[in-house]
Amino acid sequence: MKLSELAIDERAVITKILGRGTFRKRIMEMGFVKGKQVHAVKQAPLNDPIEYEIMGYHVSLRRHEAEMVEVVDMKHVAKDSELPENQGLTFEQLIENQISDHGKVINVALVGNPNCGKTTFYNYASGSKERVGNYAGVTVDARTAHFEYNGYKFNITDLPGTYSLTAYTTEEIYVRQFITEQHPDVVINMLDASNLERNLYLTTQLIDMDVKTVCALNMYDELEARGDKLDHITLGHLLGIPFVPVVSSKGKGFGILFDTIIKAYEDKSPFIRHIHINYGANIEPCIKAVQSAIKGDVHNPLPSPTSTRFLAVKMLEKDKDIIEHINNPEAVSVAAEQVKILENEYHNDSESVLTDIRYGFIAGALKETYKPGTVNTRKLTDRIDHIITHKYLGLPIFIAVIWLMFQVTFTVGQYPMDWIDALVGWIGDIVKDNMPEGMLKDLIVDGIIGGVGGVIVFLPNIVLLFMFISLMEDTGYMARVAFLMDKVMHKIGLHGKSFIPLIMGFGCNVPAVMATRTLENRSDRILTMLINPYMSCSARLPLYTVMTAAFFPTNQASITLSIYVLGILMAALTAILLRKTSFKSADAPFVMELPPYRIPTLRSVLKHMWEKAAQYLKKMGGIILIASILVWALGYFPQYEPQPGQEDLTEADLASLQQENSCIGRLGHFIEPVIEPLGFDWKMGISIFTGVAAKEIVVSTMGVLYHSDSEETESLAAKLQQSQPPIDRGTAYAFMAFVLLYFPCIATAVAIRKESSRKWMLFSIGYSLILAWVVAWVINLVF
Amino acid sequence: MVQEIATYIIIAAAVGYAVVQFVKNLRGGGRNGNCKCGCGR
Repeated sequence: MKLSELAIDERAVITKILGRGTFRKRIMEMGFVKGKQVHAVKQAPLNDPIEYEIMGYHVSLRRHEAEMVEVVDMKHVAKDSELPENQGLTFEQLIENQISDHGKVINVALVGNPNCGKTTFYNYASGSKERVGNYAGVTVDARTAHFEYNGYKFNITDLPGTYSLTAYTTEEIYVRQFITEQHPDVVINMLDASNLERNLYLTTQLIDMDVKTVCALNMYDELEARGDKLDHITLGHLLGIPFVPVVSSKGKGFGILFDTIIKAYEDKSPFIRHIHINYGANIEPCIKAVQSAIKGDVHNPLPSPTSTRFLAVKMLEKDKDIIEHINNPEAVSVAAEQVKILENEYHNDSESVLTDIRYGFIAGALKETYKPGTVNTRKLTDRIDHIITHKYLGLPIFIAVIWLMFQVTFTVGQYPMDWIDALVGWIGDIVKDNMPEGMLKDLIVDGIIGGVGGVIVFLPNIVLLFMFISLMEDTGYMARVAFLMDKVMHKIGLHGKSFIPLIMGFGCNVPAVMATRTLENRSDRILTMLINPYMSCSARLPLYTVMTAAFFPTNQASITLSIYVLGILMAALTAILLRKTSFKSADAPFVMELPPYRIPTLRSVLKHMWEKAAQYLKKMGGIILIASILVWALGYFPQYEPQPGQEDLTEADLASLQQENSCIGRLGHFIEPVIEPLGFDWKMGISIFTGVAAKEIVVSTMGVLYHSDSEETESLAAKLQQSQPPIDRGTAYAFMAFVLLYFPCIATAVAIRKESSRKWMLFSIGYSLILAWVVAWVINLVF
Repeated sequence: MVQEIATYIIIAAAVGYAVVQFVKNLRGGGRNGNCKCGCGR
C-alpha cells in the first residue's frame, strides 16, 4: 500500500521509495528509508498535507508525495503472524519478510516508438497473446502482465507506441502521465536497433525526465545482418543507461535484459547515472531560470517528484499540458519570457530549436559508438517498395494478392474441408443408425450435427485466411496497403490513419472499433467506427464459402473478392455521405510510417493460426452450439399433427410442414413480407435474424433449417442446391451482400456504443439495415 | 421418455447460457486484447 493510504493513528513499515533523482534523495535524507517505522499523526483540513512521525520527529508530506512511499501496515503484519507457516517467527522477522517480499516486486513500464516490437516482447516475456503487427498503432491502451524471474515478481505494463513525450497526440500524453503518475520502478525503452537515430529521440526525453531506464536494442539481428557495428557498452556509459541487445520475436537476450532490470532496480547497475543533455550555452540559462521559478513555489517545499529540468524544457517547448499542470503563474511567465529570448536568439520556434539539439546529441553519441555496415537492407526494402507501392502497379498488385489469398483459401482449404465434412457426415450416420428414434436423436442429428457441423467444416478456410492476414501484417505489406490507400482515404474525407482500424476489421470488427482510439479527431473516430462493420470480418467467411460452393463453384475466389470489394465501396460511399452531412470538419495531417520488410517467423505465423483455430473451435462449443440447439427447438415445437387427408405425404413433406408450423416457421413467415422483395425465403430471413448474435450463426441456422431428401448426412452446400423453392444465383449473391452489410453483430454494436454513444450505435444499426436491404434489393432486381 | 427429459434439460441449459451471454455482451463489449465477441483478440 501507499503511505498516503495509511489511516490516521496507524503505523506502518516502509518497504520501497518510488521515484528518482532529487526528490527521492531528499525524502530519504528525511528518514524515509526501507525498514523504518512511520506513524500517521494527523491530516490538515481538506485531507492534505498529512503529518507523519518518523525516527522521533514530525514531518508533513503532501498526499502526492506520500504516494511515492510504499509501506506495509502493522495490522497486516499482525494478521500474518497468525498464519500457521509464520508460527514461531518474531514480529521483527515478520517485518523483515514483508520488506523482502515487497522489495522484490518490480513495476516495469514498456515504452518505445510505434512498431518497435514492444508487444512482441511483452507477449514473449509474459506469455500473453496480445495482438501484434508490422505496422504502427496496434496497441491502443495499457495492459499489465505479471511473471516471476529469479525470485523477483515483474509487473510489466505495455504502453502505446510514441515517437516522443510531447503533448502532440493522446498516446504521448497517456505515456507521459503513466510515467509521472504511476512511478514505475524501471522503464524499458524498447528501441528498433535498425533505426537507432529516430528511436533514441524518445530516450533523450526519458533522460530529461530522470527516470530509471533500461534500453532494449530490439531486432539486433537485423543490425548485425547489415554489418553495422554498435558499441552498446560505450553508448550505455555515455547516456547513463544500460543497453541490452535482444531479438523479441525469438526471445533472444531476455535473460540478460531481466538481469539488467533487476540490477537497475537494486541500484547496482554500473551504467545508471543521471546525465544532463547539454542544450548549449544559450539555452541552459533559460532552462535554469524556469527551473528556479518552478522550485521557488513556496507551496511545494519538497522537490517535485517529476524532474524540474524536464518540466522546464517542456515549458520552453510551449507544452500546453505541462503549463496547465504546473499551475504556477510565476513559472509560466518566466518560461514565456525565456521562450521569447530563445526565439529571438535563434530566429526559430523554440520547439524546433530543442528538437534539433536533441538530434545533435544523438548524432554525437552514435558517431562515437555506431559504424554503419556495407549491406543496406533498406535498399532492398526500397527496391521492393518501388514495385509494390508503384503509382500504377500498386493497386492491381494488392487486388491480385487478395485474389490469390482467397484462391488458396478455397482450393487448398477444400481438402481438409472435405475431410472434416466426411467426418461430420460419418458421425451423423452413426448416430442415425444406432440411436433409437426420439426427441434427443432429432436434436443431435438435425440440431447439433446440422448446425455446428455445418460451420465447423470451414475451420481450414478461417485458419488459412488468418495465415495470409498474419503474413501480410508481419512482413510489413499491410503498412504498404495503408500507404496505397492513403490518397483514396483522403478523397473520401477520411484520415489516412483510419485505414489501420479498417484493416483490423477484416479480422474482427470489435478490436477494430477500439483501435479508432488512435485518431485524435472525434469526428474522424466516429466516422471510422461507423464504416468499420462493412469491412468483412472472418465470421462472415463461412457464409461466402458455403454460398459460393453451392452457387458459384467455378469462381469462388472472384465472387468472394467481389463481396469484400462491395463492403469497401459501401464504406467509402457511407464515409462520403456522412462527411458531407454530419462530419464536416477537415482531416488532420498524418505521416504514415513504412517499416522495413521483415521475414515473419514461423513461430509467429503458426501461433496466429493456432490461436485462431482454438478460438473458432471454442466458439463452436459455445455460442454456435447454443444457437443451433435453440433454433432446432424453435423449429421442433409445437409438434405438427398431420391433418386428415395428409396420410399419404412423404417424410420430407411432413418435415417441411412441421417446420412451417413451428415457432420458427411462424416467426419466419411473419418477417417474410420484409425480405420477400429481396428474393429470400423465410429460412434465410430467420438465419439473418439469428445472425445478429454472431455472423457464423447465419450458417449454423441454415444448417438446421435446410433439409435434404437424402438418407445420408449431406453438406449444407448440397442442401442449399436442393432447396425448395430453388435459390437462384442472383438471390444467393444478394444474400451474401445482405449479411455483409446488415446489423453489426451485438459485440460490435456494444463496442460502438462504448467508444462513441448510444445515438451512434442506434444510427449504425438502423443505417446498416437500410443499406443492406437496398443493396440486396438492387442486386436481386438486376440479376 | 428419457430422451425427452434429456432434451428439455439441454434446451433449458441453452436458454440460460444464451441469456447470460446476452447480458454479458451488453454490459461488456471487451477491451483490446480481451474481446468478448469470442474472436479472442
